[in-house]
Amino acid sequence: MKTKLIDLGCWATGLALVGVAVGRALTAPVPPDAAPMPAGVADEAYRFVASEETVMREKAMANFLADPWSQDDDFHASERGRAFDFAASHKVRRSDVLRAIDDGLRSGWPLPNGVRPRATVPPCRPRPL
Amino acid sequence: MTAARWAQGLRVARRWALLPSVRFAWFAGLALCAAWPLLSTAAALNDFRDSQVLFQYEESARKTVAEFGQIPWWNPYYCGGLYGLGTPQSRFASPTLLLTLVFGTARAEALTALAFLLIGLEGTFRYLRSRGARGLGALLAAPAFALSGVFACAPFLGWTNFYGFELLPWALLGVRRALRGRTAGLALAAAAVAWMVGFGGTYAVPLTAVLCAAEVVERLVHRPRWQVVTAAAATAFLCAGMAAYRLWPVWETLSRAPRVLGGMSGNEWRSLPGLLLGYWPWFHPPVAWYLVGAGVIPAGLAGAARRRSIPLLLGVFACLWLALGYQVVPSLFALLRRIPPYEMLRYPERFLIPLALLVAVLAAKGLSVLAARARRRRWARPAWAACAAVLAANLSILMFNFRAAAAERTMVSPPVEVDRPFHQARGNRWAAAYYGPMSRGSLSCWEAYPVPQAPALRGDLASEEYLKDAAAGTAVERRWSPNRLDLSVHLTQPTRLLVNQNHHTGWKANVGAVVNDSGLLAVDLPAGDHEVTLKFLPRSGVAGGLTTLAAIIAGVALAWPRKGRAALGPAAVLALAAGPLGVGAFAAALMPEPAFVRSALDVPLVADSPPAEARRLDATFEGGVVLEASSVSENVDEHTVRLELDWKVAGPVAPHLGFFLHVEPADGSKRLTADHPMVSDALFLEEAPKGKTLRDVVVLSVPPEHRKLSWNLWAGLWAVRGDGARMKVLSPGKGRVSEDRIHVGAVERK
Repeated sequence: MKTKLIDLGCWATGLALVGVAVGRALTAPVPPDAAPMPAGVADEAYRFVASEETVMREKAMANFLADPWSQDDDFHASERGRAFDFAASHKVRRSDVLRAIDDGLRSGWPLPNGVRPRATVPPCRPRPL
Repeated sequence: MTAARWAQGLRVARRWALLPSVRFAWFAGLALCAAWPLLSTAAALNDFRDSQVLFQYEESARKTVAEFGQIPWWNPYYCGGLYGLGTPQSRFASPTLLLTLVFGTARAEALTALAFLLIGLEGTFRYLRSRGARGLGALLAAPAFALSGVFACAPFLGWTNFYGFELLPWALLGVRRALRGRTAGLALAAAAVAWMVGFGGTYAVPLTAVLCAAEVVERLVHRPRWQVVTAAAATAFLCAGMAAYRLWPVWETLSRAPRVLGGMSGNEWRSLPGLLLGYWPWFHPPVAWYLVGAGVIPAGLAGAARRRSIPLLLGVFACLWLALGYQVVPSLFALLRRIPPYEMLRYPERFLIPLALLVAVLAAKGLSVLAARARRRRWARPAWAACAAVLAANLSILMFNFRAAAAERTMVSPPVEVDRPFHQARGNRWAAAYYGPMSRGSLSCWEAYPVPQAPALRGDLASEEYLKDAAAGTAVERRWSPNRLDLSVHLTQPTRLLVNQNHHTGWKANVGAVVNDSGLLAVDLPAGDHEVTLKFLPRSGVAGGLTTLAAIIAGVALAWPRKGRAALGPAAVLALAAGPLGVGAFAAALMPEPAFVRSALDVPLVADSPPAEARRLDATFEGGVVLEASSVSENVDEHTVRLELDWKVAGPVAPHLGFFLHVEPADGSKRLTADHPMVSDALFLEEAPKGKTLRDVVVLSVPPEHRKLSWNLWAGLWAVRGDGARMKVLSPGKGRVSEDRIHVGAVERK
């Protein structure tokens, strides 16, 4: 009888601990996000990021001479950095900046110095080394 | 303490340790402590680049099931669409998808980690017991594997699928039982392997297979009987059958787009103690990736000092040897990589993960040995107590590693959901997790294998489906979902309907013929009005699923207790285990699918001779390869240089060769490289037809600082997927030789 009670107690303890884990996961706070981007700022965000596309791609060329995918991937790393820098400096959501880039590219929003962003990507070819 | 009291105390503790309820409470407490930092940040998104992609795979699967009610076979949200079930790194084909569906992708990730820790602790305990450890020893030593460094550090990079390693002891336990004639062991091993395969990753299953093979060898050494061989074969068949739902799609994907890994990864001897035992001062700055903890050493040494531990010690030695990779000669890792699936493994240090399990076995056996000796020898009692205390204290080191690794993560707020029609976007794989929630696919793609991706995919289309001949009519999307597209098409003449997604042979249409248009999904349609439905129903997914279903039935039959009835004979076991594979083959035969064809290239890959304008070289390399000719041309407007190297394979060619290409600026500045493993990115040399010219075209971008410089171009061959050695030039022909490479051209500037 005593063993059975202990047995039951241990099962209950284990279940309670799992319950605590589920409770903790459900109540874990969402990190505070920045504010939604005001309508007028989307164009500015797009210009901030996309106007540097030529420069970012040429830098990527030097890093990966004969590897179009790696060049593009290097460019995207720079693009991400620039997009998130804008989000941080303007205290707007990262999602909204990425959405602005997509909207600008899709709608052909004008860019200075005749920069024309590419809408295509080279096929994925991970570097073998 | 008297010997009698000592023995009584140990007996009580051992009895407690064998109670499942006690273990559940103890292991749940340990798992909760270890996973607490992950649970406390469960609502946030890990910002690391790999995590972005892997999170996206799980989230895409969740969306497909929860929002569209479909099996997540096709993932349109990444790379322009890829076979979700065939992508080795996705982890949704696992029971843990239920957690994702209930709690959401982010919160379920931490709960998945907790579940695997709990499963791993119990599995390790049982495996240690099966290797002769007593209850208390197994209880104290189990965390040395199940809470080892890899499980602390994998979430730091978002590599949740590394938790599949927690199923390793279950697979080994099943194999051990199967080899001892217990048919339920087959089912256990198969279930563990199938779950591991479903949970994804490229290391857990191949490394588990190595350890399972070691179990078979160990058993054969002790008991060389043909029953052991048939049991091993039956286990392998049932594992393949039960895992077929995922294994088949992954095999199909990797055979169409092989993962090419070059280089010679290795670790120095002196780096291993830090990886296994932690750094000094502890955990600053790096967390210990394969931490077992120094606390296992005393008990481990006690366990090692027995003749019966020789197989375990050999296993530890083999894991260490493998973990050194190419840093040691001869390299066991290099030998292993000669076996086809293992050539896709890059990092030898992953063998420190199974090493942790072997160390846990030694530690558990050490405590058990000391406990047995303590009955008669006084010195053994304090020795046992000291080893047990140090092993218990080791838990704090392991817990600290979890905390330190979790603190290294950059956690951000999760992506914002935007409900709107789906479109492909150029996207960004470094932020891939953001696109699915905003109803966009990211064409920007990274994977560990070359995803078959159409160059014509666009991120700026008004409509995701369009006609190749726009004047031929109209195409309107009626309904979009990941695995099914419904369109109304009105055509005045036959034309091709193009979909802004990648082609896969699993796509079927109710009208017309599905074709591969330079990698794009397309349908050739006749003139007229059509309600076109495109469905993704891959043969490997369907037949693989049926194989798994049959294997589950076979597994239940094998595991079912046979009270009062004769045990199944080896032939019956073998037939039951292999039967599901026959079911799969039959299902595949009933479901024909077009053959996979690689996208056509701009230039023919294979020709009878080099182009007329090419410069003849006829240089012969060792390994059976001839560089016939080369040509160089520059496109000044696009800042590119096109280099064509014309190779010929005369006879049997050395395996695993690739090309190296050196670009040497004439001003003596740093050499640039453009190494590549395949002819024109499409064909391995060993697969090439003999006696034909193989046109290897490389387009070099000219960076701004190099646009005024002259360049010399040199090319050669090296064992890119082997030991990295360059192939010697046996005969230079008309070429100039330097450092085992041939001068293939120059870009001259005045």
